[in-house]
Amino acid sequence: MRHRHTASFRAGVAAVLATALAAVAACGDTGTAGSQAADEPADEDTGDDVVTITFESYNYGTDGVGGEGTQRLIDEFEAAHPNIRIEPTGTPAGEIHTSVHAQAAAGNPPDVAQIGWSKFGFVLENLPYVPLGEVAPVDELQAHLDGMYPAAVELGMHEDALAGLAYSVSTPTMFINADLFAEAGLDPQDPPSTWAEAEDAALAIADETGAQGIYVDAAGEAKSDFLTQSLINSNGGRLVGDDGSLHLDDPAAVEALSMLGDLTGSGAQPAVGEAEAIAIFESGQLGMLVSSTALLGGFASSTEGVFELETAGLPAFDGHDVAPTVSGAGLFVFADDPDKQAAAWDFVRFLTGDDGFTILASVIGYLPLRPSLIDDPAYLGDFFAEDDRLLPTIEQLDSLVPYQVLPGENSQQAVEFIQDNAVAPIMISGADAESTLADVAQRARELLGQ
Amino acid sequence: MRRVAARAVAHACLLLIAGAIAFPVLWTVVTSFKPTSVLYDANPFAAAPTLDHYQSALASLPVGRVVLNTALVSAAVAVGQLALATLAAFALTQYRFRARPAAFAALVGTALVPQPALIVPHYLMVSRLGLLDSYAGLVLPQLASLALAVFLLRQHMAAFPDELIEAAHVAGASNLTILLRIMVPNLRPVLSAVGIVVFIQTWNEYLWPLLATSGMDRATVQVGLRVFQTEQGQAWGPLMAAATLVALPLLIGYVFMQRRVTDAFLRSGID
Amino acid sequence: MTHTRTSPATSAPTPTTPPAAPTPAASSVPARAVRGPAPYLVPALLAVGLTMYGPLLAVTALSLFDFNLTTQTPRWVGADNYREVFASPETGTALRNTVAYMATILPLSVLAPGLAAIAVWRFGGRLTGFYRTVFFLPVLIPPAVGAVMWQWIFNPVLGIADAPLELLGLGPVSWLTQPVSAFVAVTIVAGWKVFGLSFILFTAGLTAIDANVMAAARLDRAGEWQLLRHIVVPLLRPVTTVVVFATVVFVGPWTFGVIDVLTQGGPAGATSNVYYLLYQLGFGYVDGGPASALSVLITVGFGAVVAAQMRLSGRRAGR
Repeated sequence: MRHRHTASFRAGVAAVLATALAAVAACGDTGTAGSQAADEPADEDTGDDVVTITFESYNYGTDGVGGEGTQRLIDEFEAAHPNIRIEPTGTPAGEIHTSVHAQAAAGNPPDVAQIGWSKFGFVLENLPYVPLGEVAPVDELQAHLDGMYPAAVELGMHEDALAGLAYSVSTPTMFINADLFAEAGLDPQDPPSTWAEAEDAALAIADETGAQGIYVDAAGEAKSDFLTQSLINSNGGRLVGDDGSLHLDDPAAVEALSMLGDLTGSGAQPAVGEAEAIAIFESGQLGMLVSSTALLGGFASSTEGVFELETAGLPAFDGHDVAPTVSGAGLFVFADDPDKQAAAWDFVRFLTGDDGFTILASVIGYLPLRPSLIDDPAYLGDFFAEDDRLLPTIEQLDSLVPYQVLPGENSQQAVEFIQDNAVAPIMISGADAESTLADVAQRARELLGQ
Repeated sequence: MRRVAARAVAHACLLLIAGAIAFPVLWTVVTSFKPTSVLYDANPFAAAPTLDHYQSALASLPVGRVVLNTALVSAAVAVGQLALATLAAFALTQYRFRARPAAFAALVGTALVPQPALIVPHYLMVSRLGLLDSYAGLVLPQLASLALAVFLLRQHMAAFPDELIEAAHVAGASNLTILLRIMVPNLRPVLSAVGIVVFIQTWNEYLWPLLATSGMDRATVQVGLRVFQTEQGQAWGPLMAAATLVALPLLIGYVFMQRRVTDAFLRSGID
Repeated sequence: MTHTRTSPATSAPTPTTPPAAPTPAASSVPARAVRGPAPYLVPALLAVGLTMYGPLLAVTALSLFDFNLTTQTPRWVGADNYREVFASPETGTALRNTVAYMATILPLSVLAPGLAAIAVWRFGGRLTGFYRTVFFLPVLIPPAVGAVMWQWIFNPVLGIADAPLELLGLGPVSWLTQPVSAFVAVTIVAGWKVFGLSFILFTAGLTAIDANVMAAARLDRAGEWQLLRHIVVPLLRPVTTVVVFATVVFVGPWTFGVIDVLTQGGPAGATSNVYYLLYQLGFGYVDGGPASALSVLITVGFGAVVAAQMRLSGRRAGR
């Protein structure tokens, strides 16, 4: 008995030592190799003219259509450009700016990175991006931009230079459970186009079917602020003035956000959080979900066999035109070596070109930012003929308003503060819009140093 | 009679607790086999089970890699702490020197410093050394919480019979020989207990791997699972499948090692 | 106590047995024998110096500067960072929550597992192994993974977490959206996680209780209750100290993972704790100065609590 015990203990120690040795060996490995590239030298040494560029993306490697689409973009680019190799890394959207930041400080930023528009202020303030005008030949860049929606190009402009290029962009849309609509005697092909109609429809659904009516995904902390802005813009207001001042407590904003509270108060909207609302919608228990088009790809597969999914544009406030803004990300170039800059431009040009946006729209569900693709059978024509659920928001693109960045180094903090302390309480907990926004605007101004 | 009643009440309560503790795990496993269309159906048998989510999970998450990464880092921290603490405890018990109380205080005093509070300097240090996203970078900052190991090993070494040590000295053994050949084999129970505790502690560490890794190459289990929180929403089915997969090796290991793990705590003499 | 026992050997370099004359063997100690405590002690001191005390000094110094962790050159701001941290309402909320977590989790990590351990010890019978396995399970499931499992349970569509409440006549709860219920949710998951560790520690303490003592007491016709009160509970006191200590140490890091998965500190900071705030300041907003100041404050507070606890348990042990 005792002997056996000793033997098994030795075996255990041996195993632990072996793992430890393996760990040490592996550490040494990374220590000398320096970068992951050295792990696979075979491909790299095939020719001197092969350029490897690194690409940091928040879609890459994620489960589902986002990861699949990104992989396909890379594969097709590499097939078309045999002399350029892409080395991708996946980093969550909320951390990609800090990750690039850390690598930049170590003198080794990724050559191309996909960074969210809500971090645009941070990029301008902290990151060593190279404006696209410096990596691309002037005429090539101009020709490339000419085919894109002007509002999309405008997104990445800073002081007359193009800091980054719109890439994975989405805009507000209304997802509709057509089954619940039909059950409540509503026509899913004629969806509500104003908030007043939406509330009526929601109440009808709640009354007739016992399901929930509508949920406006504006209260989330991380990504929903573009919807907050879209609502304020669509009511004739704006979040940031030309002088950078905060207009969160202007009457237009107060009125726009009190609509969210009214929906909850009337029972048209459940008082739940973002993740829960998405779950309720996916389970077929919510009539309308107003959120980002980025969710379309996921919903298309997760609702299959549960209910029929339709879409509509963002509802309008009475007497105003919709003025939605965008969420999503742009591509930023950080390469400083001329060869890598050239390769980075080729890559950016592909991703935001005809083939790139075709894949982005048809596989993942991001907006095709080139109007010519939409009817062209060589690109998205056939896709949209079969699945028109992205179209309502594409029609919205003409009224697009650029996303506004709060000024200063605390902008990110202020955005989260506003979402958490104003939008969520007004929408979910019944807080009074006027007094809450006045308080929160006051504190946000302090944070922003105004 | 009263004893029988007490026994019944006790078992009823214990089974209730066991049920409450096991339920999330069981529900995760059940969900992982449910087709997407009935994912939100509370009835576990709403539709025939499917392996779809496992396929999807394995395609997105290198399960073997993240489990191995976590195990390697945890083992390295456990072995590293044991080695450092064994040597230190030997010095603290077998030598008398003026700085001894100070050295002991410095080592056990690490219990007063919460490791998560040091993320900023740790991050700066590891990134300056170019060790972000490496095993060394993951292990190093976690090596220093030596308080428990030093405290327990010192206690046990101090209680080690002097006669044995003296006999070894008489036989001409060096101090190092005494430590490795005589003390360490006899301190096996406490060494394995401390090792297991440190292993589990490192296995559960989330914050530091979150900061020190990027991508999947060095990701630990908890960091890796975040690939299912996508911009297209949370992929519940694959997430549940992946949670099952990463918990599996551990649970199997635990079922086989259960006696040793529990014994480690029982024999560590932590009281 | 322990120190005196070591004295014979502590005069090494050339170890001798004090009363006896030097033996021939003593002089034949190999030349490469280690000659002082330094080689044994230095690695550990180096490790704690480089990864604990060094960073602690560094963060104290950094707390007097404004910096963004990487690109900016640090700029001297004196006590401004501390002023900013103290002035921010988030700090107060996070601190209150940290204390509240401690207060709500302690019963789940001391009282409940203690009672469960005693029950299994007395009545476990053939199910002892089963209970030990199930109770210990969550200790092995990392916090973020456990939180993901629970997140699915808290999902309002399935309403599973509401079922027990409805039995009590309480309506459905949107767990993660309302401040109080979100806090309760984080507490439940963190409690789920620490329960098993405390249970095993208590079980260890119980096995150490001498069967003879129990037998003797029973011969004295002591009832089950009296045994518990007068023998078991007093004997468990040292273990209880360890359990409380382990809770204080683990509750911070383990709730962090739960918070990050379930609530990200929201709604409106209601579930944040000081570590989560630190993470947000340092790595969400890359605001290094206030983050460093908060680090220093956390360390001082934590150190004071642990030191007080050590002193308290030391005094009790010395009595």
